[in-house]
This record gives sequence, structure tokens and C-alpha cells, in this order.
Amino acid sequence: MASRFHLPLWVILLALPGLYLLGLFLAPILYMLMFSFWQYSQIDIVVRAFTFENYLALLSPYYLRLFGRTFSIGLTTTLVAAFLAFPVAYFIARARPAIKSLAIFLIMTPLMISTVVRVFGLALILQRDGVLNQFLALIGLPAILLARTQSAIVIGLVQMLLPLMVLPLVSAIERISPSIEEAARNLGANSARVFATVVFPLALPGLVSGCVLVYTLSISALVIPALLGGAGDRMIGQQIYDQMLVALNWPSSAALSTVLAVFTIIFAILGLSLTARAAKLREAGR
Amino acid sequence: MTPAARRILLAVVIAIYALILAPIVVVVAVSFDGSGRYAFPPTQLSLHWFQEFFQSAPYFNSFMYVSLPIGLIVAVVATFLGMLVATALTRCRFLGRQTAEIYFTAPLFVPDILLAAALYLAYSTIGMKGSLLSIAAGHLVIALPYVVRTLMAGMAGIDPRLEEAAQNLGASPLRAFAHATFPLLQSSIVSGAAFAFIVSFSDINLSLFLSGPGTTTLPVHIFSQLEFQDDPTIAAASTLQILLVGGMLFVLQRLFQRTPAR
Repeated sequence: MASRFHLPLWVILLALPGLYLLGLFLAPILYMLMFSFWQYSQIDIVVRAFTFENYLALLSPYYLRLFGRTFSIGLTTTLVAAFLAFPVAYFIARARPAIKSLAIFLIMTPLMISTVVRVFGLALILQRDGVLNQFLALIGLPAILLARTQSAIVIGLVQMLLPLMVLPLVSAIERISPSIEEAARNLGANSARVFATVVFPLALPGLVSGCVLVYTLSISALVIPALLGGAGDRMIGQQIYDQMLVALNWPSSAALSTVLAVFTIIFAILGLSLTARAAKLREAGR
Repeated sequence: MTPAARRILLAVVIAIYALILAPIVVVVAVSFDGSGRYAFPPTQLSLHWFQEFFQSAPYFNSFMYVSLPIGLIVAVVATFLGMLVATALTRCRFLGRQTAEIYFTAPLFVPDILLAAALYLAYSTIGMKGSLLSIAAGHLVIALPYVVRTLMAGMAGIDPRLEEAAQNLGASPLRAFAHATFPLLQSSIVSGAAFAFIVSFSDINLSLFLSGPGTTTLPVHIFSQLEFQDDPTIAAASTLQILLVGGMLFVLQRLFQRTPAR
């Protein structure tokens, strides 16, 4: 009998899903990278000749303002989300099991409901005669106009991404033994001091990974600025979409997408190295 | 923590939860209002806008003939592929196993619109834009990591010796898997499939780039209608989205204590 060569089981199992992601994930992204170096043509959309033009065009004042605006909206969103996530994460991490699973369910469920639906609800709250202003009128306060402003974009992004800040913080705080907090309290520290000297530094790795997640997702937002922002509040995601589907300048859109990808990778690496440093500090503090 | 500090924390947490859940509550409330304007709180209860939804061809079709079939295809295929990946990653030992795990969960860390733009260009080049299958193929990429994570967590809790014992008693590897591991894995499989369906059903970023005429998904149709903003049918469509997704997650949580693992 001829001896048969057997492929290892893991090769057989991973072949199909591996090829699938290769074809519909890796290859399209590499193809887009190639596309960004091809020339734009008004007649054929693209001419396959090498050029840096698409990237050089991104250095115009219009694009620099677009980048600045997007990054600053991302930064504000991240700071507000971090500020709001801490009490929630601390509460969840220290709650009894039944309350904990309810609290996690209530924060995860909005994350899975379509962004469009949640943004629609938010628009109903923020618009001129919306729920918020009705409520303000009821308690005798003047109306505030938030619809179609950058503040509305930030509110929408925080609303949307807060769960992604809360979850890594919960797992970081869960790892802090309550007895450390108790020890600090027994030594005379009040709640604020316990938070500042014990909980906050030990939760830093979780905070950093939450920040990276929220920041990278907010700078790539498309639907939220499109529905909540004004004409002057455009973000990178909207520009990618419009260049691709409206202006049909595919090479320009590909270049802008590539730049966004590079920034995302830079921020992720920066975040990872900060997490590693925070973890090291945490070890040293023990 | 002192009782006073605990009470302040509880109040702050409840306030933040209220902020997160408020838009969802408002959408549901408005969809049941009969006055015809977006009134909150609703002045009169009515199912009028749901009736409108089911009678409006663009709404009903985008739900019934686009979003639903795409979600079901994605659920089935993602669960099958996810099963293969999770089995290899938890049951096989090989060099580069960790790299493989990163590879199969990578789409989680790539912003959706980058994948959407890349697929748009790739589809345009090979001429397969705007069909149900091309949207489903894109959704499959972002749904797969959820299934892989859920199934890996499920498999980690099952003793591989059960399968070995079955094989020692003479069962083939496939039969050992089907009779020893599979029954214990059922709750993970159901959860994984449900998460895959939800990821597809709720997606807007990929669908915005990949939808064509006749293949607008429900979220894309809601998005396009939002520009006019005075038709409460949007609220009814949104409420159906919330009820379906929220209901599925609630059942999973009740049955298996499971939340999507990101």
C-alpha cells in the first residue's frame, strides 16, 4: 500500500476560513493601498500609472483642517468617555453578581443596536423642539441649540462608544483586590484619596486600552457626524464616503483611507506601548 | 466605601445609564405615538406607524428581502467557519497558534469604513457591486471574530478528554466530536450565530458602501429617510430593530448568561 501524506488537522480546519479572510479582508485592503498610488482621471476614474499626487493633495489647507477637526473631536470624545466610564466601571466591578450581569447587559445591548437607530433617538432629543428643550422649558431654563453642532457629534460619539471604554476598565478594576482599598482606608485615606492613589493608577492599563479603542473608532466615524454635525463639522469618514460614492474620485478616497489606517495603527501601537509601561509601573508599585 | 460615597456613586451611575439608554427609550415611545408629530412622551397610543411600516414597500422590502436574508446567511456561514477556527485554535497545538488567533480576530480592530472602502473598490473592479451576496460576504468578515471568540470561550470550558474517551471506545474523530463535544457546545453555537446575525442586521458602515439599488438594508433605508425626518415610520422601523436585537440578546442572557465578547 502506498503511504499517504496526512495534512495536520489544524491546516484542514483553518484553510477555508483563512482563505476567506485573505480574499475578502487582507487582499481588498492591500488593493486599496495600491489604488491610492494610481492616477485619477475624470473620464475613467482611474489610470493605472504610479503617482504621489493623491497624497500631496491631502496637504492642502482644506484637508489639514479636516484632519485637525477630526482628531480634536476624537480627543474630546475620548476624554469625556474616560471621565464618565470610571464611575460606571467601578460600580460594575464591585457589584454583586446578579446586579453585575444586569449592568453589563444594559451597557452591551445599545452597542449591538444599529448606530442609525441610536443616532435617530439622539437627534429627537437634541433637536430644536426636542425632548431636551421641552424638559428645559418645563423647569424654566432657556433652550440650547445642539442639533447640527460639533457638541452634538461629541455627545453622539460618547453615547455610542462609552461601553467600549467601560468594559476594559471593568476587567482592570476587577483585578484590584478590594483589600488593597480597605488597607488604604484603614490607614486614614478618604474615598477620593483611595481613588487617586490606589484605584486610578492600578486601573491605568484598562484605561489606556479603552482610550485607544474609543479614539480610533471616533476618528473613523461616518454616520454620527453625517446625521448630527453641521456643514462645517465634516470628519474624515464623511470625506472618504463622499469621494468614493459621490465624487467618484476613488484614488483620492483610497489615499485618505490609507492615511486614516496609518494613524489608527500609530495610535494603537502608542496605546499598546503605554499599556505595557502602565502594567510595568503597576508591577513596580506592588 | 462610606455609605454616603456609595449613594453618590449609585446616583452618578444611574444618571449615566439614563443618558445611554435615553435615545432608545425615546425612539420606542415616539413610534407608539398617534399624533403624527414626534411627541415625547406620547400623547395617544397607536400602532399606526407600524401599520405604515408594513404597508410601505421600501421599508418592508429592505427588512424582509434584504436585511433578514443577509443576516441569516451570515449567521449560518459565520457559525460554520467560526466552528472550524475555534476548533483549531483550542484543540490543536501548532507553531503560530497565537498569530492565527490575531489573524482571525483582526477585523475587530480595523475601523469598518476602511474595510467598506476597500471592499467597494475590490467589488467595483471585479464587477460584483450591490448584490445581496456581496453585502453578506462583507458582513461575514466583521461577524466572524464574534463567533470565533464566543465558540473559543465555550470550547475552553469543555474537557477534551471527553472526546478522547469516545475515540478510545471506538468512535471516529468526527463521531466523537458530534456526540461528546457538540451537545455541550450548543449554547455557544446558538449565541455565536445570534451575534453574527445581529452584527449583520445592525451594520450601517459596510452596507452604506456596498448597497445598490434594490439591496438597501433596513439601517441604510432608515439613514436615507432621516434626511427628511418628519415621517414617524422611521421610529416604527427603528423600534422593530431595537425589539429584534434587544429581544435576542435578552433571551441569550436569560438562557446562557452570555454577552457578546469583543
